[in-house]
Amino acid sequence: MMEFGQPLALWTGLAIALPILAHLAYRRIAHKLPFSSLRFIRSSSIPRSGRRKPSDWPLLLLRILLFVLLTLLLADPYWQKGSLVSGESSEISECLFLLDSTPSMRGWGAWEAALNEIRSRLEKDPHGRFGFLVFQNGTLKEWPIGTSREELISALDTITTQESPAGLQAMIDRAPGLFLGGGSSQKIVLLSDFQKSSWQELAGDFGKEKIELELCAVGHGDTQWMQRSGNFAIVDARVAPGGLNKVRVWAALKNFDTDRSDLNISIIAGGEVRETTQLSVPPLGTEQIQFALPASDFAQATVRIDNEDAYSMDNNQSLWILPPLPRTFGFWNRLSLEETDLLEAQFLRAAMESAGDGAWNRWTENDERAKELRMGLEDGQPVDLLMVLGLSGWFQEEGLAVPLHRHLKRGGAVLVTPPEDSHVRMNQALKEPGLLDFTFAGFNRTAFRMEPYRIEVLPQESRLNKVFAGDSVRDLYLSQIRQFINVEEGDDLEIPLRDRSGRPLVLIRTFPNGGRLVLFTFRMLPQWTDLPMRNSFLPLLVELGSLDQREENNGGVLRVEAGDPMKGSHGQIDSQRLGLFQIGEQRVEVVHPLVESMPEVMSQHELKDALVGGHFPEFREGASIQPDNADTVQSLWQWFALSAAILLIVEMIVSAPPTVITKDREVVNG
Amino acid sequence: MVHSSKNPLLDPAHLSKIEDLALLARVVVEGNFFGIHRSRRQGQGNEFFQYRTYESGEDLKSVDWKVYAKRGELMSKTYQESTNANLLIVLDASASMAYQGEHSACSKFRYAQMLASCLIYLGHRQGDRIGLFGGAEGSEVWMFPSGGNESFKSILTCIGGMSPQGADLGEGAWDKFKSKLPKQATVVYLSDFLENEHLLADRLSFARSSRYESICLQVLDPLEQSLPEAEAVRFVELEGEREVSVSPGRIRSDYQSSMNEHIEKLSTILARAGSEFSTLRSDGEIGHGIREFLGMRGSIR
Repeated sequence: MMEFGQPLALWTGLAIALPILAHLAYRRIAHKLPFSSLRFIRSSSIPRSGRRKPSDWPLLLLRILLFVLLTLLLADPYWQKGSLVSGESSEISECLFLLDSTPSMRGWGAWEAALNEIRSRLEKDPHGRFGFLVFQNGTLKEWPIGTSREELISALDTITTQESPAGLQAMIDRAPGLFLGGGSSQKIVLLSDFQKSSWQELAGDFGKEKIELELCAVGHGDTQWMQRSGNFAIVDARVAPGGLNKVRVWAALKNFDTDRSDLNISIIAGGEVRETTQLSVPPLGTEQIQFALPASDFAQATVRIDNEDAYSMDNNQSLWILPPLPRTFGFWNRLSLEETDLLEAQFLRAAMESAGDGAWNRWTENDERAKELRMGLEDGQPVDLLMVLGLSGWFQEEGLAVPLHRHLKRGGAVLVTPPEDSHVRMNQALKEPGLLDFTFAGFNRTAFRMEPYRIEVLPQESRLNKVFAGDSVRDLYLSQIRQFINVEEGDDLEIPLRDRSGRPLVLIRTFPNGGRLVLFTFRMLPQWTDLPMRNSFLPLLVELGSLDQREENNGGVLRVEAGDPMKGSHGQIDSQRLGLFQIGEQRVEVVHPLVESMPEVMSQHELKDALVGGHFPEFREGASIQPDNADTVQSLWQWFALSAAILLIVEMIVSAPPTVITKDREVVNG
Repeated sequence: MVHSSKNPLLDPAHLSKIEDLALLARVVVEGNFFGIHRSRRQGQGNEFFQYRTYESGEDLKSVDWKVYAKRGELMSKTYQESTNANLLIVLDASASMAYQGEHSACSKFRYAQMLASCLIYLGHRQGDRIGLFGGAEGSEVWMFPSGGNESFKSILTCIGGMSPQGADLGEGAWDKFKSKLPKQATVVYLSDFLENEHLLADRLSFARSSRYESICLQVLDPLEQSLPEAEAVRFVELEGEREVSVSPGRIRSDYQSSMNEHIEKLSTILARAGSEFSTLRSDGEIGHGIREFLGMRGSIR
């Protein structure tokens, strides 16, 4: 049957009165007539004829028909096959409610509006069969089609909005499978605020499934499908050392409103508001704010916007403010320590402990853990960096290859320096258990007062270029190496440094789990090299051992947005809920997903493209999308437009004034 | 005024089908007015007229001896005697003359053309010298009166070649015309006299002289006197750009009285100027016009 997309436009049908009135008040057309002189002719009114002669009725009917067609054209006619309006009680429609439970639904009154809409629809149609699908706590909760009305209404009281924006795609993918197929029509009612960030990457194809889709936008205020406003958000909050016994808490705030807003920002620590500051944030702009707190009094703090706004979830953010736990290193030496071993250990210890920026990136020696590792205790906490100094026969004798291998497999970093002599034993100790594939090939030593060995210019592709950019690399090139062992490297080894003759100075093997075995071909002693005394030594050590990858940017705290998959050293972390967590020694901050704060919503056409798949003729009132099925809906617009155009042409032909025939007979010339 | 019984041969509806104006004039004049007009004076002119039987007492100089030699019969040659009378036809060929009402068989101009041809034929028959002045602004025609067949034919050809278009003749042309008038003449002015009546006295100023006689024949279409029958008409002026929409029924009586007043006024003006005046309808008999002319000419003489 024919239906109209714009039924209100049918009121324009009143314009049919226009041609009727025009015909009633018809004014005769004065035909042109040439006349010899107008001298004695004064103009006179031309009488209106009143109702026209019957011969003009066809023209009047033509005009009325033209106006009727134009009216129908404006009302956007389309042909609806089948029955959306089920007149017979035997035809039962299936309706599935899909409810968006992403965090943004909590704002702008969307959640309550959505629940009310579902309740009202359930009450309106007593014959329909309804189902319900919503994402809750990381899983899809389903109420299949046919669930009783009472059960559905009570289910609405149990669900809440989520803190992670996940689950929409899963919900869309699952929805078609929930229909039983027995009803006369299948319809999905999608209730959402259609917040842009949540929906812009989603896709579905309900048109292919021949399921009618109705988009029910909630939380848009008075103007549907327009940009919303009235939200302030904390978009970031960080902590940094703030001088002696203090930390600085820094936060960035965004005003999504189009007016400048004065915001009251508070910092809460230890259950009390420590400070409140007023901040004026420009329209659609961002401002920063800083608070100072005592360094070790509190573990956590919360930054909060005190003003009320349309969406409250992004109005506070909690963060860890304790300094991160120090990272550890340890040594393995021969048991009968020689002076060189002691000197080397002392040298490296001093270098490591001076690393970091005071409070945050600290390294401490943990001899205990190194010993546990040496003894082969598997459940112990490993050191972040193990340094094996003067590796030679003792390593083999103690059978340390096994625990070292295990440590490397677990992702540990190991630094190895050669012994004073018996380098062949070192070669055996590393090569035979399959730790490092190289062959000892001699010993290089410069004579007294001879030019030392120098490090070769770093190749273009070297990853050390990232660290030693610009002038800083000169310090590395000035390093003097007086003696080193000569090795021939095996396969799968990285040689980040060579001397100017191309001989390896450092060999690195990377293990599958990220473990790195770094062999220096020289000892860290003054008679071998001056490298440890140079500024470039620590960055070199950190880069070669990939030690920086074990650091977290935020003072050792892992930060994820709610819903993001996250892997910690203790396995998968559940990031469904906002807040601060500690898993083992790993501190985690699950923060509000920034995109949920944005007030932008999808346009109907973007949603149409994303969810119906391909082209769909027109949106109908109420934003209901019917499946892209020519058998069901066919626009009649073009047919009406064509008919109106034809009628207009006919009308113009019929109503054109007759050609003036002047009796201008030729005078016959004689 | 001379009235005649209805003669279909003089009906413009029939006559307008004859293209040759000389033939038309001969048919009209010879068929209907034989004997009415004065015959050509025969005598000692230069132009041969006809043969006739010699009568005793006549001058033997008139005998054509070549004929006598052929036929054995004495025949006298007669010559056309020039009358020294000048007939000047003034024919208005302005655009307004092109008007032809829906009931009329021909336009006013065609009527005037036919009438002028007949008058010229009459004049020619009685040996008058014939001249022509007329046309419209920018296309005036001026043929000084002269006698003879050639002149007669060329004047008729000239009349046949005229067509109504443009505005009325300007005063410059009239001044030129007046300056070149022969010493005596009969001037027959054929026009609709719908405009410029105030200029007529000046244009026909020569008519006050006893050496000239002036006859003004106004040709009007019947619908110019009564307006067409229609509920609404948009009149477009033939001589100008003006247009006016009217309901003829509503203005007919006013129009008719204005037109009658105009004709009366014309009559007065022309009488004062020493000119005869008569109104002819373009659906009326040509003979009516000829009779008017003959009657007026007779009254003047």
